[in-house]
Amino acid sequence: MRKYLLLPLVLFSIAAYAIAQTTDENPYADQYIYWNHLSDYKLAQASAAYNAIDTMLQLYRPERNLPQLPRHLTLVSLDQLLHDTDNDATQPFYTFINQRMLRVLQDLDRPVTKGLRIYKLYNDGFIIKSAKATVAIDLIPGGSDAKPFIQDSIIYGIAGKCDALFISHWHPDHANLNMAKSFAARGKRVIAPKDLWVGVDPMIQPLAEHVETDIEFPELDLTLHVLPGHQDNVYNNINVVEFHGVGTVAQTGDQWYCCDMDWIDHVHERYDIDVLMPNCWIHDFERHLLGFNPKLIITGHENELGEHSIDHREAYWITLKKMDVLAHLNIPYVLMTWGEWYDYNR
Amino acid sequence: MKHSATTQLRGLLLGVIGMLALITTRPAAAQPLSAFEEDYIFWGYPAAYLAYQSKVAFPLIDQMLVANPPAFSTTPSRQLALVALDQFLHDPDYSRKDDFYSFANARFCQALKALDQPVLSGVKVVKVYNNGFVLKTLKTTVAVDLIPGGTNYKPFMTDSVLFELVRRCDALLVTNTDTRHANRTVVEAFLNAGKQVYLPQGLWTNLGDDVHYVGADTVQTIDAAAMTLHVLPGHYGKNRNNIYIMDFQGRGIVAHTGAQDSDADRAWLSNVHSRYNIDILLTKSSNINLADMLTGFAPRLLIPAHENEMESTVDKRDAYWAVSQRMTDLTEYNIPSLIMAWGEAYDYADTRSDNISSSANKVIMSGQLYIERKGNIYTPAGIKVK
Repeated sequence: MRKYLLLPLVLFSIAAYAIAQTTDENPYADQYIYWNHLSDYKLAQASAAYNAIDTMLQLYRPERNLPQLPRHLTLVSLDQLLHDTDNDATQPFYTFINQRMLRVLQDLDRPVTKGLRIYKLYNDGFIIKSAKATVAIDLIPGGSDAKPFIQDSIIYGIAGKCDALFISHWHPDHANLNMAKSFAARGKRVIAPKDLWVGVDPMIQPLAEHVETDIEFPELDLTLHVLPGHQDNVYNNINVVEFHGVGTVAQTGDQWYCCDMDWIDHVHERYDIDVLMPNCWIHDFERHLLGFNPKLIITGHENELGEHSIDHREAYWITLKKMDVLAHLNIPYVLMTWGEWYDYNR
Repeated sequence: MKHSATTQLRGLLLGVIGMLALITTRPAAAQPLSAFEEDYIFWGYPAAYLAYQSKVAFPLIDQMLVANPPAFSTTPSRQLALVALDQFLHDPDYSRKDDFYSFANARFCQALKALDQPVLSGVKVVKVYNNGFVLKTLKTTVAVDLIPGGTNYKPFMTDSVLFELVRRCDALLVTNTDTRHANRTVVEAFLNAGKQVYLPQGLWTNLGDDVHYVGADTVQTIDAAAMTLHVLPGHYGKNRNNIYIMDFQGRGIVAHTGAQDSDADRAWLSNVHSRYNIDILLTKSSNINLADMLTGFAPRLLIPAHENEMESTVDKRDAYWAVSQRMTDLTEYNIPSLIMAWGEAYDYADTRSDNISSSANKVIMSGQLYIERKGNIYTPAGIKVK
């Protein structure tokens, strides 16, 4: 009997040894050998992988439909990193996402002479730039207020190059009050859903009612058509932005409500949508596509690293699979990751 | 019936072990992956998600490796392929993912394809799994430390692939007794096929008289399988480890160091280059004395081995990216290195040492290389063809 009492002692000793091993300094780190230092190994590997991915993303830019092999594997490799929770909130991740966003900040100075340039930011954030206007939708820094994914100098630098901000709904992965205030402080309008940030600032303008609303921006030569969508019982503005004479884009926020489908079926009869930016996990994807009937799809919301478990982090490869299922609709798509852009011309 | 306390405790322990076994061997998904192919929504099924991610990734990695073969100046595409492979091979749960096994065999089939190509000069180096290589010249094909990987119950390499590999080889060399280098199934397959087998002393002494046991306290030199084989008395800790120097008689000299890792051997290892003119050094990637091995052997080409040994814990699965960094740090030695993944091949030809192939009258028939001599046709190994 006594020998069985030794078992916990032995297990405890093994655990203590293992812990001691993992906290010791690694004598072979300079040779890239990480025996008994798994967390250091994973950090170093993530760093190597993010660097390789960033290099490849610059070489293989967004393209229509199924990406060619190098870009395809790059995106899947990124999925793998972003679906390993050990990599969450680690320095390699912060370095990577800030590198990606810095490129957006720099590219926003490049003029658009024709059509629309569409930038993808974190989560469901997009910036659409025409020759006359630069508008942001659901622009957020990601992470928490205490430790945002994107550092202030970059994300607010990006915000400073935009002329207006449109918010789909109040969820923090789409709406950020500090971001809205930064727009307002620069005298730029923020259009928010009903009841969000009421009375905060005259430039932050929630809808008075959750109904279809047209808002003119004459100085930007565009009209915002807000369609009254929902995510279950949450007001979700579907922002249809009409850049006069250039193109019309629609971003669906977190649209997820069966009872909106009757009017969504007819959106295409009233709006000539060029680019639809749906949440990649939208329900009844096919019916939404038929309702909007866009000329191009650019999905959003992949790899949200917030509170979701990995099964709902929506990999890029899943979007590609979904697009394959929908291929019979013959609507082209462009799969983009953080910090990329695509020039759309009618 | 009343049980004693000891029996009850034993029963309890067995029960706990049984429960643990049940938990750890449950399938990756509660339903088949095909069930997710209607809408690709994996909510609530993280294991199925990860399994499907592997199913998507492995074929892409395989294609990328094929499109970007080993080269001295590596491209971003190959770097990505290797680091992506590292990521997926560092999955502690890999053995429950069928697509890992498919990938491994797809790679091993690439090795078969490479071995079907004629070798007109020099040495074709084919990396198989872990420390396993096949070396092919015009005259012979030799496997070293060939193992199927995995477990006896679930090997990585299928029997049919192993059979095909054996069929293409003339001989097998095993460096040491460790299961990561020596596998009885492989040895028996070679023996059953009538191929030559060279084993370290003391390994499976009941395999019959056809086995050649080699290795001693001093260097042995043997004429074997169209090569001159020098067996150097290395060690792995306190265990004997045969270092094989394979002199392919004018086509190249290849050294395979097995699991060599012993401070006691460092003095004489530092002098190997003075006796052998090594073309290619195949050595363990994670050797902390890699620089010493390089200066000791002074090869013209270094090909590291042992990366991503799946039987090890993740921290000991030496990643290709880590090896690549290590090689970069060794550039001062001016010895080119080549990182190879499973199933890849590289044709090494040193014009200074290759002089036999140019005098042979080579004939390609049905995609195979033969030698024509006085009106007769021979295989590269010298066997007359009717």
